[in-house]
Amino acid sequence: MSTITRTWIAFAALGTGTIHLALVIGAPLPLGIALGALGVTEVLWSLFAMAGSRLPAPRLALLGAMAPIVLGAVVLFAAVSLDAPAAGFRLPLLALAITAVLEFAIATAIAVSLRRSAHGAGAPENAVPHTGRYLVALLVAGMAVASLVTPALAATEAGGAAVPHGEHPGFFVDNGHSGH
Amino acid sequence: MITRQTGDSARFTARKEYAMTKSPNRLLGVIFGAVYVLVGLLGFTVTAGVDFLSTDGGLLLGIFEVNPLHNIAHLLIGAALLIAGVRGVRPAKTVNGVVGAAYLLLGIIGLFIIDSAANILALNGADNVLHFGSAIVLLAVALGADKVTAGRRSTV
Repeated sequence: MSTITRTWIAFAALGTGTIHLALVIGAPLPLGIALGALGVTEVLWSLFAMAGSRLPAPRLALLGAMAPIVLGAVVLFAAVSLDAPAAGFRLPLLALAITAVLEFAIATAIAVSLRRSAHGAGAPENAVPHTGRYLVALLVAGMAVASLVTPALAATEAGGAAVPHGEHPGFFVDNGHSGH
Repeated sequence: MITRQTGDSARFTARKEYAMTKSPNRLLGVIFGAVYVLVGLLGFTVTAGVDFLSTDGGLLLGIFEVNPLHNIAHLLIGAALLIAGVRGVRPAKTVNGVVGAAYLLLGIIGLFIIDSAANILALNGADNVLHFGSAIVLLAVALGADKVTAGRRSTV
């Protein structure tokens, strides 16, 4: 995996980690603990990925990137199937959607990299890119991730603190079934 | 004599490798430093009449909200990045890392104080995007580039 790709993945992981940490505010305690642990792990993993010469534990990271998406989908499906949105939780949909996009990108990049290395293809480890190309690639990716992560973080703040409890739009949109 | 030639050769090689255009940390420090100094100076053109710690500042480029304290912070951070970048790899790497970590913290804290009296830098959403973006790029380059490994230096 090239240095640029590894750093892009680290950017996305830092973004998802930061969002997960911000989601702790306003989440129920058990979920808050899980989100906090996930966020800290993602932030640390991203820093090790930036500082190291290869991705730390790529297969575990692949599972770690996919797990929140799958779990979120299962919870959503279960809550809708049981017609019990209150069993869900009040997390901002925008933040969750952006996190899912970043996690999917991380998982895809890692999966492609693992597949290529298994076939002996792909960029050599620690390939040294041209300085200018390296910086431009990081600047573009950095601003792209920032423009995704910042609205997501703002949404967590809005959902958790800015709007009085019980008045903000929750995880589910009110579709008129609340009177059942 | 042989030792001296080897030493000179090593120093020449090191000097060549540490040249500004070959070091991501130095190049990024100089570019970001120059941009932030410029932004700091331009900021004063839109903050005439704005209180030093006002939570409502002027709009730079019609997007980024700044007040005089925010301008001074840009000038100081820009100067630090610029000077470190000009001085060498080690200071550039250190300052990039410290500024990156500080910006990451500011980018996150800024989200929670935008509409409060604690917003003494007059931060708005666009500022937070820029701070978060700058933070991750500075951190990535400080942590990942210009590594020295077992007597052999790798630029990235």
